[in-house]
Amino acid sequence: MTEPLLSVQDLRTYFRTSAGVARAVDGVSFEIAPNESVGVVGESGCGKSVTSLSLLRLIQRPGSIEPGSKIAFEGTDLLALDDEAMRKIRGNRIAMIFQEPMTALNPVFTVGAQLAEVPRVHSSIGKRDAWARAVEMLGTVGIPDPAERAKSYPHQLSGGMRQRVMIGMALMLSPSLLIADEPTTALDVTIQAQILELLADLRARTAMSVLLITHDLGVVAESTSRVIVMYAGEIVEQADVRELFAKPHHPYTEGLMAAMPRAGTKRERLTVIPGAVPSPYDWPAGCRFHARCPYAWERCEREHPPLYQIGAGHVSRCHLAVEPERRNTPHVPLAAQIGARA
Amino acid sequence: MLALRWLSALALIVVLSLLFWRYAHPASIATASRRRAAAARYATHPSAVIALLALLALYVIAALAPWLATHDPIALLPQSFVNHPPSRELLFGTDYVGRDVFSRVLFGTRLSLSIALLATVLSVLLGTAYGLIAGFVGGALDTAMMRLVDAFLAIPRIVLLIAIGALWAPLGVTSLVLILGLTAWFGTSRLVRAEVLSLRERDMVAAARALGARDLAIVRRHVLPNVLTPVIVSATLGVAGVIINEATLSFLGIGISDPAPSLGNIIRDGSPFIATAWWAALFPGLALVITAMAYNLAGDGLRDAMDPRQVDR
Repeated sequence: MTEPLLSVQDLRTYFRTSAGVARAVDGVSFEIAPNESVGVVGESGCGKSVTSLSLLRLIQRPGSIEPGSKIAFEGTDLLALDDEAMRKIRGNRIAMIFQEPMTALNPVFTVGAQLAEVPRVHSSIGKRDAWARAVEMLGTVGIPDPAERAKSYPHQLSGGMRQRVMIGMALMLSPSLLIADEPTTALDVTIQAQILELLADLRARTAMSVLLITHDLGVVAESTSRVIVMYAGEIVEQADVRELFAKPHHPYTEGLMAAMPRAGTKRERLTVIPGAVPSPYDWPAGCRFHARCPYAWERCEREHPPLYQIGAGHVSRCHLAVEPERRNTPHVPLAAQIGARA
Repeated sequence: MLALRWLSALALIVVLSLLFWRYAHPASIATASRRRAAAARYATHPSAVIALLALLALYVIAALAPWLATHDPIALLPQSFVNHPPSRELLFGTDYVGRDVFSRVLFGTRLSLSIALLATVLSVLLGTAYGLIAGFVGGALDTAMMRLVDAFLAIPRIVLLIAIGALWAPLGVTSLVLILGLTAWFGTSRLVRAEVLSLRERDMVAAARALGARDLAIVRRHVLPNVLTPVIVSATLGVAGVIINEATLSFLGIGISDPAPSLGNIIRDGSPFIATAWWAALFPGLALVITAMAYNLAGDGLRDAMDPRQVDR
C-alpha cells in the first residue's frame, strides 16, 4: 500500500458537559489513500459527524480532542499545528461540504461572490481573477450558463444547484481531501444520483480523496471503494465495499442492510434494529451493541471486543469472529425483550 | 448657530451614506426583487406611508428652517408682542418674552431631529459592536457583558439621563448627543447578540470555517450583513425614543438651554402660561408628537416589510 493521505489513530473526541463526559468518538483509527473514496456509515449519534469535524479541528466547546489522538495528513500532525497553520489547511488541503446547502450558503451574497471569497481567504488574488475562477468552477461542477448563474443569490437556485455550488466552493483550491457530510440527504433521489456522479467524476479528474459520510448504505455502495461502519463512537466493521455487501460480518452491519428497503422484494414492513443507539455519556460495558444484537451471549456483556481481522482488509468488532457457531442460534435481542415487556 | 448647521450637515451625510451603503453597494442586503417585495409590503400600510411622507416633510422643513422662518427665533419682539396670540404675521403666536413661536418650532425641530439622529447613529454603532463581540466570543465574556447591560437596563432611562446630565452640566449639543447615544444602545446590543447567537450556529458559519475563513471574515461576511435588518428597524423605532428623551431633558432644563430652541425647552417656556397663552406650548408639543409618531409608525412599517415572517396584525 502506498503512503496514506490521511491516517487517524485512536481519535477520541469527548464533550465535557455538566451532565458528564460524552464520549462521542471513542478510539477511532483509519486511513485514507490518495484518490481513494471511503464511506462512513452509521445511525444518527454514532459519531460520524463528530469524526469528520475532528479531522478539521472544528470541534466547539465543550468538546475537545483528547490527548493521545493522532491525525496525520500529508505527513503533518494536524493536532500539533497552531490555529493559524490549521486554518490554512482548511479549504486549502482539506475541504468539507455539508448536508443542507440552503443554510450553508449566505443568503445575502451572490453565489459567485461566495465562491470568489474562498481563494481570497487564502491568497492575495485580485477580485477579478477570483471572480473568473468562480465562474470557471461553476462550469466545472456542471452549472449551465455559469457566468450568468454566478450573479444569482442562493434562493434563486434549486437544491441540487446549491449543492453543486457548495461542492464548487470546496474545490476552489483543489484540496487533496474532500469531506462530504451527508451531501445528498436533503436532495431528492434523481438529484442525489447526479451529485454522487459529479463527486465521482471530480475525484477521477483531480486525484483528490473523498470521505463520504452518510447513513445511507445505498449511497455508499454506489460511490465508495471502502466502507467504515461506525456504532457508538467506534468503528465496528471496515471492509472493501464489495466484500462488505457480500459478506457483512458485524451483526450491526447485517442489521443496517436488512433495514434497507429493496426493490423487487415483497415485505409489508421494513426490518428494524430494535432499540436505539445508547447514550454517549454512558456506553454499555462489553460490546456496545449487545443489547440490540440477536446473537449476543454472556461474553458480549462482559468483554469489549477488539477489531478482529477476518479477511484481507476486513475487520470486525465482534466476538463472532472467534466463536462463529453462535451465528446459528439467533434469539430475540435484549432491547426487544425489554420493549415487549413494557 | 454655526454648530447647528455643521451638525445637521453631518447628520445628512451620515444618513445618505448609510442609505448609499445599504442600497448601492454591490453586495447589498437585498436583491432588486427582494427590495421591491419589501417596498410593496411597506406600501400596504397606509399609516407607514403617511409616516414616511411626514418624516420627509419634517426633514425638508428642518433643512430649510433658516429660509422658512418668518422671524429670528432668538430675537425678542417689542414688549407689546409678549404672549401674542397666533395671527397672520405670527403664525403660532409669541411666547412669554416675545419670541416668535413659529420660527422657534422650526429651529427647534431642526435641532431635535439632528440630535436624535446623531445620538441614534452613535447608539446603533455602539450596540451593534457590543452585541457582536458578546454574541460571537460567547462564554464568560458574553455573560459579563450582558450582565452589565442588564444592570444598565434596570435603571430607568430617564433617571440615568438626569443623573449623567446633572454631573455633566452644562450640556452643549455635542455632550447631549453623547449622553443620549451612550444611554440608548443597551436594547440594540441585546438584539444583536441574540441574532448573532443564532447566526453563528448556522451551517454557513461552519462551512466558512471549514473553508479556512478567519473569525473576522466570518463576522464581516456572514454575521454583520444578516443582523443589519433588525438593527435598522430598531434604530428607526429608537429615534422616536431619543427625540422624546431629548425633549424631556430640555423640558427639565438639563438639555438644550435658552435661548437656543429645542422642542423640549420651547414647551417648557410655554407650559406655565398654557391657560392664557396656549399656543406657546401647543404648537411645539404637536411638532414633537408628530415627529415621534412618524418615526414609530415608519419603524413598524419597516419591521413588517423587512420581516415577512411576521404576520400583519
